[in-house]
Amino acid sequence: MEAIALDHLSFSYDGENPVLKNLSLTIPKGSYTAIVGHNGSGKSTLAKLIIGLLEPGAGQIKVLGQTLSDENLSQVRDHVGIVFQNPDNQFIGSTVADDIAFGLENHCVPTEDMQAMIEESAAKVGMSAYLDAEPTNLSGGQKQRVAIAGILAMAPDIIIFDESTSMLDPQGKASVNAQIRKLNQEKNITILSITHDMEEASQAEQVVVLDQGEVAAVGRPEDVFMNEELMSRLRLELPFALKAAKAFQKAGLNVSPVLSTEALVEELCPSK
Amino acid sequence: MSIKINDLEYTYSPGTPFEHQALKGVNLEIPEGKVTAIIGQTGSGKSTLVQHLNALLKPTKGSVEIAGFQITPDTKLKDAKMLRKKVGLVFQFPEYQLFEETIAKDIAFGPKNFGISEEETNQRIKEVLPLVGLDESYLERSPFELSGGQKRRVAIAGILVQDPEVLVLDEPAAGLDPQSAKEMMNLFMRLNQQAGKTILLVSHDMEHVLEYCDEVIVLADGQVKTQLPVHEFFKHPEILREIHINPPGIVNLKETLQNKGFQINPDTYSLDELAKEVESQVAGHE
Amino acid sequence: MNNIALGRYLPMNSLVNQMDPRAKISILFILMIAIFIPAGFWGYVPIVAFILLALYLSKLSLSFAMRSLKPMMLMMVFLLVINVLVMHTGTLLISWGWFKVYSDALVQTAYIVIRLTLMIILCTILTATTKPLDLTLGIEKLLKPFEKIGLPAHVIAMMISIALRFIPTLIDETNRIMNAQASRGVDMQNGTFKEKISAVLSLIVPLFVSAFDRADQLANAMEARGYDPSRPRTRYKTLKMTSIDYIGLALAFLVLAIDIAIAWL
Repeated sequence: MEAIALDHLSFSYDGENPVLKNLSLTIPKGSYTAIVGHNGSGKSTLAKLIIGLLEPGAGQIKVLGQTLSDENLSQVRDHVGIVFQNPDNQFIGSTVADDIAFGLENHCVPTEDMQAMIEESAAKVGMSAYLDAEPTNLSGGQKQRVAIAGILAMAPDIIIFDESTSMLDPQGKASVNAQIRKLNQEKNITILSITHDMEEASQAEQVVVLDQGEVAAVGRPEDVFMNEELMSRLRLELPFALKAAKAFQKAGLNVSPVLSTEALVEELCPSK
Repeated sequence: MSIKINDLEYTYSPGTPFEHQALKGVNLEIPEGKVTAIIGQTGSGKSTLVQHLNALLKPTKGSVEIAGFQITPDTKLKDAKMLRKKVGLVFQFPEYQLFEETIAKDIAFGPKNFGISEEETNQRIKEVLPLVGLDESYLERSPFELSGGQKRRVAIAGILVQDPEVLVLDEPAAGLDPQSAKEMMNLFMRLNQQAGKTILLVSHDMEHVLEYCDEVIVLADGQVKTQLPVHEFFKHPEILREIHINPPGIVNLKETLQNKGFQINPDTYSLDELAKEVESQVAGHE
Repeated sequence: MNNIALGRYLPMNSLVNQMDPRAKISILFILMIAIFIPAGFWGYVPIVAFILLALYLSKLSLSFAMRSLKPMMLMMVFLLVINVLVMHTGTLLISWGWFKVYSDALVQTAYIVIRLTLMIILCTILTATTKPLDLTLGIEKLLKPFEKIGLPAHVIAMMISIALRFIPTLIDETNRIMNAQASRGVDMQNGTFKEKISAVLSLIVPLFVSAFDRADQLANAMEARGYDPSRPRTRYKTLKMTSIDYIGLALAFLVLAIDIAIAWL
């Protein structure tokens, strides 16, 4: 079954300028999909449609087999979590524990069960030592990890990351990216990551390139990124390892397009 | 004239339980007309240092010599005003400082405060707009109807219009997509190369530091850890790891290759050259 | 900013810190009533005794409590001046030409100053020993009975706690915008009236724009996490009254009873 299926989806904020045009896309259960594209390509609008913060102008959204409607919205949301871009503006509680508790409170989880659930989720994102910390004393990366913990407490099937690392410093980025990978591999949670960080996109199984509200390409990251015509037309940056692989190929070396520096060097000298 | 920082110390909330010494005797000479990166972890004293450059903060001890001014603990705010015209500070997410009804008025806000004539201001606006990639059709529009990236260009135009000698940029590309970030950095490079502006760049992005900067200053715990020309600096990735910052991709790749026994010229920083070096050695093996 | 004592929470491990916020708010309320009972100067003795005990048990110094009065000093002086000018009853104490001071003016001012002082010290003890969030939770629980008549107690509590949560964020933001505008030549202290207006606008407008942005994003985040003000919620933090709370309440009622006795018996 597909985790998310978008069927001929269209959307416009003002009724004149379409943001999404007749977009169809399926995201398999348990997969890690990255959506890339320029600002204004419709990436973030897509995220808001999937969790029902916006309603499509035309077309259908199916989440875990259910077509999204006003009636089942809150039910569907129990299975889908989203981490937004700005770490500050989604931190609702006064402390880490309170923030993780927020979703549990909304879902009427009995008070006596909460403490254990909070501690377990905080442990999964490495924030156990900070349960009483206030948001002012946390870094951006830590706040985003708390946001993830708040979602994990709800045991979701799908987590959407809406440019969740774009305001973080490299250290924060790396820690959140590692977290995303772990969620997908160890907990088998379906990941939909909207990003313009190509290094992050290259760790996904499937990359979707959006351009002006339409799907320009779908495929494995190495295949999509090696499509030179597409990448230069949309002026998208390549991840570093692929850039290096291309330079090596140009110099006459026999390497295949790989997504990490280590793998690239390995290709050069398998014997060593 | 270069920027000189002498024994600079700064303490927040002195004499209270919240007392905190952010700068502990910083000595620096920053060359004129160059692009210098200031890097360091959060809490290393970067932003405190930067705020001394146009007297938003006054030293607790020591002095700053910049653009013909000297800032000491006794400097008065009134004397600092003209310094602020000569040293333009672009804060992180500058799009949040826009407030006027029209873009023209917003860009003209700084010059008005500095007592520059309207005529000269209008002339300067015409010069600045194309620099930031906007045209005159924007002037009468409200800044609030623009996209995030465009707003940032307007905010930067509002600083450039002051015609500062020194530009201090705090993460100017943060939150932009890679293409817009590149355009933003290229804009500053043009200002450096064509107009000779001295640029200080506070950045976490080591790819940008390697690509655009001439010199690197590393701050750690309120002190200067290193100051080196950029290509010298990236020969020592261990300094970066000490402050938990990942080196640029090419530096990583060079290291990985060296560990595998390749001989890499330490001065190579271009992928194509590196590829040639590697190619010659692989060919040699076979 | 760092010298403000009124309204600031001090993380100390005192007996009063451990009390249930509902008990503390109720005690404050009971003592407020006692303060306003016209029992004469003797009526304040039990109240002062209670306050001194509370200060001692909360490990707060008298000077900390006094510091919270600072912002009120000017108001109290102003009150004295007004009273002296308008109250012309009681015995004449001083008479310099047209300037006359009557005893009632001093007595009345003394009453008001004592009441204000006591109330402010009580509020200071409450806020210094209670985390803002616990305070909000206490208010919510105490307002709960009024939900039956349509008072949205948990919505009010949510609003207060979000406001408290964002105060430090907005202070940071204010500093950043002030610095940014100062770099564009804004001088908040000097300048003509017109320049000052534009200086204030250059701070206020961006602050509002960003606050609305934040509110918008926050609303999305809350909705995405299943918040619906019309639906019931459980709470993570629960409150529990212990014997200290009951003793505190009993003492407060005792103070109130003594004052009623002095006034009307």
